[in-house]
Amino acid sequence: MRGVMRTRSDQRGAALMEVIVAILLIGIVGAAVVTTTLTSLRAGVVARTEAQLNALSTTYGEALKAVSYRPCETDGDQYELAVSTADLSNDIDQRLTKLDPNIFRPTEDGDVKVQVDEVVDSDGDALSCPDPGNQLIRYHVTINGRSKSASIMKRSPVSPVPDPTIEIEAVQQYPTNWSRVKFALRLKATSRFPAGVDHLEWWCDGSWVGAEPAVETPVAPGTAPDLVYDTTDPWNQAILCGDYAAPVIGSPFDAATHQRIVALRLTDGAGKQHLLTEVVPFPQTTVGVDPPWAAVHQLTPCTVDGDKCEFRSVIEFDGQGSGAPPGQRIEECVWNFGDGSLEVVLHGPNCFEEVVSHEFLKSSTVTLTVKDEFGKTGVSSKNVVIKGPQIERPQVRLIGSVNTGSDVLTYEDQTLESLAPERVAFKSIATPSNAGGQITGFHLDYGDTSGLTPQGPGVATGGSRTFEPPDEVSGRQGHEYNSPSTAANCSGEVGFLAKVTVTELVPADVAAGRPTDEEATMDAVLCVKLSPLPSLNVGVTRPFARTALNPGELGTPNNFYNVRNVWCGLLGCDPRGTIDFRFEWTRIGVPVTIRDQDLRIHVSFDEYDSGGISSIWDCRSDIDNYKADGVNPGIYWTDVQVAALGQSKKRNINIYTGIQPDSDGCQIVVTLERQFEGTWLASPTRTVQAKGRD
Amino acid sequence: MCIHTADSRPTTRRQCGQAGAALAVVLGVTLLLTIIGLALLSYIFTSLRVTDEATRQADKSRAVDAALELAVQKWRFDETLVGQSCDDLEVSRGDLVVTCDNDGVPAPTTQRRILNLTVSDGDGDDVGFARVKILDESNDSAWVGFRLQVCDWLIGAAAKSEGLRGCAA
Repeated sequence: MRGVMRTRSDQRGAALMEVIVAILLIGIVGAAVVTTTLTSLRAGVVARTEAQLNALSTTYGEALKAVSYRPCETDGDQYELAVSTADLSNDIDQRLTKLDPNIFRPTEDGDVKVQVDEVVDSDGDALSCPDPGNQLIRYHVTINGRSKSASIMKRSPVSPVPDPTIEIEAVQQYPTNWSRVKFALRLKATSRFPAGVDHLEWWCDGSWVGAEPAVETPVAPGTAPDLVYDTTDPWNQAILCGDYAAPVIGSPFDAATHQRIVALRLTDGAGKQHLLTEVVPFPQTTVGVDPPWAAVHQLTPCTVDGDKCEFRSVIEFDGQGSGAPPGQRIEECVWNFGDGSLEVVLHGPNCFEEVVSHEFLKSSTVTLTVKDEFGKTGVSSKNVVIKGPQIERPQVRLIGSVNTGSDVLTYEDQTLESLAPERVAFKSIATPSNAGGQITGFHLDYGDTSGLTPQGPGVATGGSRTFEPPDEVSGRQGHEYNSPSTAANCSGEVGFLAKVTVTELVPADVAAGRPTDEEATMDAVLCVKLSPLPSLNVGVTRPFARTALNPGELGTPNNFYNVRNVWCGLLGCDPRGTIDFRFEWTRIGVPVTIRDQDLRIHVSFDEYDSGGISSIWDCRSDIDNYKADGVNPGIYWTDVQVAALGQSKKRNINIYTGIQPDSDGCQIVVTLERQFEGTWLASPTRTVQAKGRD
Repeated sequence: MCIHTADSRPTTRRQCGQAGAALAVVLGVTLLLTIIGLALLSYIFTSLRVTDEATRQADKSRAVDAALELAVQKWRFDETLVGQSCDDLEVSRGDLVVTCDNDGVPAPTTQRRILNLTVSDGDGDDVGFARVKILDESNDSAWVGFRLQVCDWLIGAAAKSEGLRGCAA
């Protein structure tokens, strides 16, 4: 029994042990499984998070590459600070919101964060802006407290703009005066602006000069325009800097003082500024130092016995080949034909291109003298050989005389400056130049519109003959010289007052190779330069005054339209006053007197005491004639007494006098006259528009 | 342990048979749990390895992409390369090396260049490829790197089999 019991007890114990072992095994394995399961779940979460981080960082990186490039462009800024990471993060956020929020913007999993940490230069060599290169962007993604850092290389869309090719050209010119340089700057033709030009500024003689670019520039960035450049006009698009005193060769020269520092500040189409500075030297000028040169060019060929010409050949010349140094120009050409005849004087920068002709009676040396504006001359000569008889031209003088009443003024071989009319008596004296020669005639030409051509054989005076036209012919009254003649050797603004042509008859002389009688002519002229209109400048210098109470009252000089309040008193007044006005004229060869003048001015008065204003503007002419005797050329102020302007019964009036600015219809009429042979000869009336003095 | 006696044999035989079944069940359960646990562990390791590999590949792709960008940037604006072959050019970034050639593309001119870029890793494997066309002028005016055209841009070793295309190659 006890054995059975023990056996049963043993069996129970074994079963219990089995159960315990089983439970223990299961527990251990179960715990392991549970642990493994829990770990797996946790690892799964981690793996999922990592996968999400990967996906998000990849997406984020692609988004960073896609968003707009934010350049590091603020000059001098630290690169890392120049590009806002916050802005970039915001850009990314904006872009990611367009993606599936369940994937790229998970919200259920808690904290998800993407952020740009740093933007640096891809090469690591740009510590400060500007730098247009690629950017290395570092960023991190955070999900559920787990972060992943990554970086991408962002390509720069910015193509660095090549620097423009800029060259400054200093333009210099010696326009009017040998020592003054007109100085300007412009870009040379090789200047190119790949990004176009937004603005140009020149530094010129101490200040910036703004200059808008030409119409053709600026152009759109990305183009490469040439600056429009006119090679035929060096001043095209030139920015004038001013005048500069050029050193003349031979004078002391200090290079440092004869240069200018100039600069160009150019803002191109990309907004980039370029500064170019140059030193522009001013070379010593030769302008005005070297003379022009002349060349005699014979247009009519001579072919007798080689290069000889026939007697009485009419040969044409010009001065082709003549010229002047740069900066100078020829202003006058004088042809001398070497036989005593009148020189031909031509004017103008191209005078040497004009053709002149001359009849040759003997072998002569033709000389061309060119003169520039500085008075420098160049001379060239050419011999003309005449085959056959050789005869001289007669000698002739032309004398003009003016009787002023107190004196007789004579003119010969000079230009008479005159304000027509003149009353000139002429006399011509001619002398034969050839053996047996005789003066056979005089022919006077007044060169005007009168049609008078007095002529005659003259009167023998010893070996010469003298020709004096009748008085009634010599009078110049009424002759107009409005169009100065360019005949004879009077040219430009100078016309000839009279020209005499004298003929000498040279008898035949077979031994001298002259089988027939020949005629030789010779001219002499008196030139006249018409004086310009007298310059009349008028201004009221004294206001009107009450006649009875205070005549001639001086007031503040007023050369403009003047108004003055006049107290006429209880009985009214008769206002009158004095106007000063000025004459200015150039000399006319003899003393002159103002004989007559007709001053027309605006006059009005307001009788505002009557309760109304009656302003009457009129061109008044009721002024006494005025005569100033014995005045000489110059500037004169003369007083003119103005007659009564009217009568006023009012106590208080305003009188307006003077030359109304810009007035129309009012004028000053002046007649100049001078005494001649006891009588007053009046000039043509000169009318000058009234004008207030500036 | 099961003790057999004459009297109790039938009963004891039945009890012992029951006790063995339980053990088998326990062992079976234990085995099952062990298998499940091992499977889970395998899953964990695999997942983590896959995740790590994916992360590494993503990082490497970005590195390769960055290396290509760096090389393109460097060679695009190098005025000494205008009209020149790029055969000897090389740019390094980390263990990545970018080389260049003009194989199979038109010869470079002063107006444009077409570059083939290859990225090699530290093991010598080619892991990135790109072909870019660079225009070096604008309106008949020299402008180095004025415009960049990406003809092809391949990341990963497998891309090698695809070959570069585009830009009239």
